[in-house]
Formats: sequence, C-alpha cells, structure tokens
Amino acid sequence: MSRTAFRIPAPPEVVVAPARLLGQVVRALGHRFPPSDRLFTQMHNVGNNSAVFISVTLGFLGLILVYQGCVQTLKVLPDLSGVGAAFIFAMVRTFGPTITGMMIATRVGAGIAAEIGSMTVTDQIEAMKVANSDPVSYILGPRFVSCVVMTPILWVFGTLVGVLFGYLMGHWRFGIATQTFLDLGLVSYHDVVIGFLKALSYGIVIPVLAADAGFKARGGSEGVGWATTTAVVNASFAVIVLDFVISTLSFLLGY
Amino acid sequence: MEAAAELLDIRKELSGTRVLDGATLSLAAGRIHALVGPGGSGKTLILKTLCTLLPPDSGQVVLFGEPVDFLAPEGLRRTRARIGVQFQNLALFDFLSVRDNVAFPLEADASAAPPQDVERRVLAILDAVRLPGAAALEIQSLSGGMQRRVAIARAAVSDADFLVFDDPSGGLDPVTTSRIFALISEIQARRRCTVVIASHDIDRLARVCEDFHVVEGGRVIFSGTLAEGRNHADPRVRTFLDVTDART
Repeated sequence: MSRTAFRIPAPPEVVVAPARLLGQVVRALGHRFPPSDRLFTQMHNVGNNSAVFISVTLGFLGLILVYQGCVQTLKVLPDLSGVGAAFIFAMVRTFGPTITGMMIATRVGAGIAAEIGSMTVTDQIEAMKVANSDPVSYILGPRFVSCVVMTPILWVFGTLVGVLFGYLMGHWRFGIATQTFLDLGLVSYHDVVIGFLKALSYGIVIPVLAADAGFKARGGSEGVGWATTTAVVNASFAVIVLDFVISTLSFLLGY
Repeated sequence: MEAAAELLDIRKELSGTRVLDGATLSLAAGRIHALVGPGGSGKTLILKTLCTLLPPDSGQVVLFGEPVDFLAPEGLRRTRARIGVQFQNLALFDFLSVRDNVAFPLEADASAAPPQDVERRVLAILDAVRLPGAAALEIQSLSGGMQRRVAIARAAVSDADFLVFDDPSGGLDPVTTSRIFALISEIQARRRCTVVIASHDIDRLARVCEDFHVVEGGRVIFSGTLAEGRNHADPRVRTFLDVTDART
C-alpha cells in the first residue's frame, strides 16, 4: 500500500504574483530611488488628493458611530461617559486605519491600476522595456513609496477628523462634556502602534495589488476596466484580511 | 551577407492559439527589409520577437550574431541597447512631453549619454522628423501624423544598429507617408543600420526596401526581392506583392 506524502499546497497565483512584484519593487528601490519630482507628484496625488475624500468618509463614520453608540447605550444605561473613550479607541485601532485603507484602495488603487493597465494595453510598458527602463522601478516605484508614506499620514488625519465629528455629534446632540468625550484613557501606546502597523501594511499591499492588476491588463479598454475592478476588489479584500490578521495576532500576543 | 537578425523555427502560442508557427527569417545587415502580409498574419508578433519583447515557446532568436537568452537580463539589456522600435500603436508616453518621449531611450539606460549630448541628439532628430520647436509640447496636443513622427524620432534617437518600424504610415495622408518613408530611408543611408518595416503600403515599400518578406499564418512564406516575389510559384506571395497599395 502506497503512502501519500503530505504536501503543503502551493499558494495561489493571486498571492504569488503580487509577492513577486513586491520583491521586485523593493529591489528596484534599493537599486535606484525615484527622483524627488516624480515622488512628490505621486505623494500629492495619493495624499493631498485623497484628503477630502477621506475626511468626508471618516467624518460621516464618526457621526454615525457616536450617534448609534449613544442611542444603543441609552437603551440600557443612562450614562454616556464611556462612549467617547470607546469610540476613540475603536477609531485609533481599527476604524481609522481600515476605513482609510479601504478609501485608498478604491481611489488610489483604482487610479494606479487604470494608469498601468492603460500603459500595458497601449504597449507603453513594452516601449519602456525595449528602452532598457524597468517599468516596475519607473512606474510602481514612486507610487509604492508614496502609498507607504502617505497611508499612515492619512490614517492620523482621517482618525482626527473622525474623532472631531464624533465629538461634535456626542457634544451637541447628546450633551457629552468635552473632557468626558475626549478621554484617551482606553488608548494605549500599543493601540497606536497597531493602528500604525495596519496603515503601513495597507500602504504596502494596495499599490502592489493595483499594479499587479494593471500589468496583467490585456486587450483594450475592456482590459483596463478589468484591471481597475480587480485592483479595487483585491485591495479592499486585502485590507479586510490584514485587519483581521493583525488584530488577531495582537490579541494573541496580549496587545 | 551577414545577418543582423535571425529567427529560427519560432513557435509561439497565445491564449491557446498558435500565433507563430515555425517562423524563420533572416535579415541581412545594413539593408532595409519589408515585412508584408495580410492583417493578423503575425507581422507584429515577429517584430516583437525580433525586439526581444516576445520570448518564443520554441526556436531561436539570433541578434547581431549571438543567440538571445531571454532569461539573462544583462544580455537582454546589451541587446536592447542596439535596437530602436516604433510600435504599431506608437506607445508614446502620454504623461511626458515630446522632448522627454524622444529622450527616453537615452535617459532610461543606465549607461546614458551626458545631458548636453542628449539635448543635441533630441533636437537633431526632432529637426530630422520636421518637428523643430515641438520639444515642449504635450503628446495629446499633437496630430496623428505628428505623433507618428515623434515615435519615429524616439526609435531613431539612439545609435541603434537595428531599427524596427511597425506600420509607420498607418492612418496617414499620402504626403506625410512619403515623407516618413523618405525619412526612414535617409536615416538608414546615413547610419548603414539594419531596418525592418512592416506595412501594407507595397508601393512605398518598393521605393525604399531592398528585401521583402511575406508573412502568412504565423510563418514567413517568402524572402527575396520584390521582382522575385512577383514571379514566385506560390500564388499567395504573388497575390500579395503583385498589387499596388495592397491594403487589407
């Protein structure tokens, strides 16, 4: 009777290809860092151009969370003093980085995929290769660095906006005192680190997944549409999975 | 005569379809070659294989006397430094100006020319393609004919030994087409480089090309002079070469 050896299943292509691309871009950046003008253009695109979008989204999220938190709390307790601290804790640790990541996945990820996809289907990528320019370094390099730098900054910015709007709701609609609402008692140094790690990891995976979809675009406008949709779906899914993985790991490690 | 580029029994499948089916081609150095054939016959894929952009499933690509190893980045880099390409759909970088597009092959390579040399070459080639003063313009602001000339300028700006033009006159008026073919001929005469032009415009190809290669069904079915092709036993070769302005 033959014995079947246990084999670890090979990871799916949807994981392997972006991982390979991540390795390529890190190597390319080590070899040649993008020039400052192209880097600042991309940072402006990722950061400044996303700021309003993220402010509005996290602002509304803050309003909704505090409103619902207060309404539900009042059903069982006449005391709203813990709402602000719990809300700020949730914003710093989970909602701030993850909703920021989702918004960057949709706005920036879609943009990167459409841009690279359009270059792929119009042979611009091949024109770069034949000119001895590395498309991963030239196109993805500045976008990758910009996302890695700007996502944590947008996390801080978005979280502050969300907390501000949550405070406005709690203070003006439910009468929670400023000092009571803006209570940082539940937020520890570890929560800030975990929020930062989440934002950083989103900043790493979003441009890579988007670029991977863009480089795989085939055909014409249909291929660009496919790349854009794939980038948004994969990047959004990756944000949720990373949120879960980092949260679970931090829980298991006691943070 | 020594061959600048050779394809030996190249086979390639894309999405389950055999697109190159034993293509064999030899391009003699220092001459202008025409690659003709009906639409979808594999001309562009043959050109991309010659430019080292399309690794074959089997067969060998020999450029400048050396077999191309598609898995050796350093070798590919050295080979590509000797090739200039004008793509069928131009492939101009729409986020760069005319000057930056034309200078791209010079500036992208790690062994780039000094900045003064780059400027001199860019201005000279823009002058040659009759686009003086267009350096600062954005690509989107140019007409189709001007964009095609920018693409030709980008292909020819470096001192490439092998120039590839895929449909250089596509969609252009007869006057601009004649100018573009004359320009390619002029560049070749000055540098004595090897040129291959894929086009349906047999009339104009006949004025500048010395050798003709007919592609059909992913393979090269004829190589020789135009006169030989017009007297060839294969009716497909005769049909394609024995017409004026054989557009398909």
